[in-house]
Amino acid sequence: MASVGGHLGGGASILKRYKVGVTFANAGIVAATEGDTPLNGFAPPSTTVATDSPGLAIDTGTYSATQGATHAEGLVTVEARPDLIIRALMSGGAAEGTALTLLSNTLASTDGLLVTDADVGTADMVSGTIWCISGANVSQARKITAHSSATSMTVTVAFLNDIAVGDQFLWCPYSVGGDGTATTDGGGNVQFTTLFTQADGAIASGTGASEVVYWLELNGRSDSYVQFLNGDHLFSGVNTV
Amino acid sequence: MSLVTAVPKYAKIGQGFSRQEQARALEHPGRRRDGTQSAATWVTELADRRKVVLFCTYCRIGFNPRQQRYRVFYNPDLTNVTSGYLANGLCDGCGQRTDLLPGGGTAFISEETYSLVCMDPLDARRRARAAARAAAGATSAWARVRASLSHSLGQRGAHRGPRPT
Repeated sequence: MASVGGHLGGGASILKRYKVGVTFANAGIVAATEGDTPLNGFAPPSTTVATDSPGLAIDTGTYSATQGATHAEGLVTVEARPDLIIRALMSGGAAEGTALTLLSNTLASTDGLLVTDADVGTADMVSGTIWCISGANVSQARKITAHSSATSMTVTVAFLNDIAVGDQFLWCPYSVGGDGTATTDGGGNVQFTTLFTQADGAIASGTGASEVVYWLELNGRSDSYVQFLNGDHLFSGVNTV
Repeated sequence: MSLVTAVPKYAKIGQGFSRQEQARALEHPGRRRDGTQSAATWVTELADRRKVVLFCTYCRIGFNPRQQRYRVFYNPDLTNVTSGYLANGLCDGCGQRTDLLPGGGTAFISEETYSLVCMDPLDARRRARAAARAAAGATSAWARVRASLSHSLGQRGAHRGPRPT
């Protein structure tokens, strides 16, 4: 589940309880407004879109339009600050809890620039981040600047040591910063997993919902996190509607 | 159509409401205050549905989180101005905005949801320290103590020499 990770500006949380137009089955998902016309209430996002989000839902809510004395109105509590830092576990696929794909280098790189493994996949990871978890460069991370489909990944700033055969790496499609063009698009999008509770770390860099990557917690295959701010918050200054 | 509904909100007739105004309309006002619902009933309903509940300083003493299997909502404050346990909104007891009251508000979240949406500060510290140790290749303090103990015991054993037969 995505969790709260503080606010960019500091200070206390602001919680609002909103009516829902679609059931929120899980806590810790980014609320959105699309997919429900007319607007009966807020809804979970899709995996790729979270338009006019009011914030992060921190409990669940069941939508019902049925009349009845015992009818409990569908409500969800939202952490509504636009500068909320949302912390989501990176998943290695669309399904929740998938471990990130492990790269085991198959070709020695004496300049520290090339990680070779067919497991790099076909999705374009340029502007993502690759980090070493085993070998001489352990705990070092670099921005991916070239991706050869199902062959290798290249970095521009060399790893400090040679990359030996068998050295292990992980990667994600995110990086901090960038202007959104094809080669620097790792900082502007996060795609959600099927239940919207985690970040799909296997998709091409620059795809997914509009979010602003704030920080990367680069650990192991099942405990690495991406922290992001809501890129299309309902109450943000750049929202035009 | 009455005259009231014919009056446009903005300069242009039919301009409509913005998303932000629609969102404000979707905010729930809290419990009914027409005498048909007490604060206790409202909070009990929220707790039964495992919802987040929020109280001002005056009302929070009436809520027993342990009894309801709730705990305080925590969101780290990166500036350290607050403790991270401060949360503002509409008080579920009195209906006041807690940011306008002295002491602010406190939100309580169910135990089963807490681990999903909050970072336990103690657990986060434990993990951070473990990660720092791993990154530095260092051992824990207790591991160093054990190593020194086994080392000294080993030396004592060596000095003692072989056992007489």
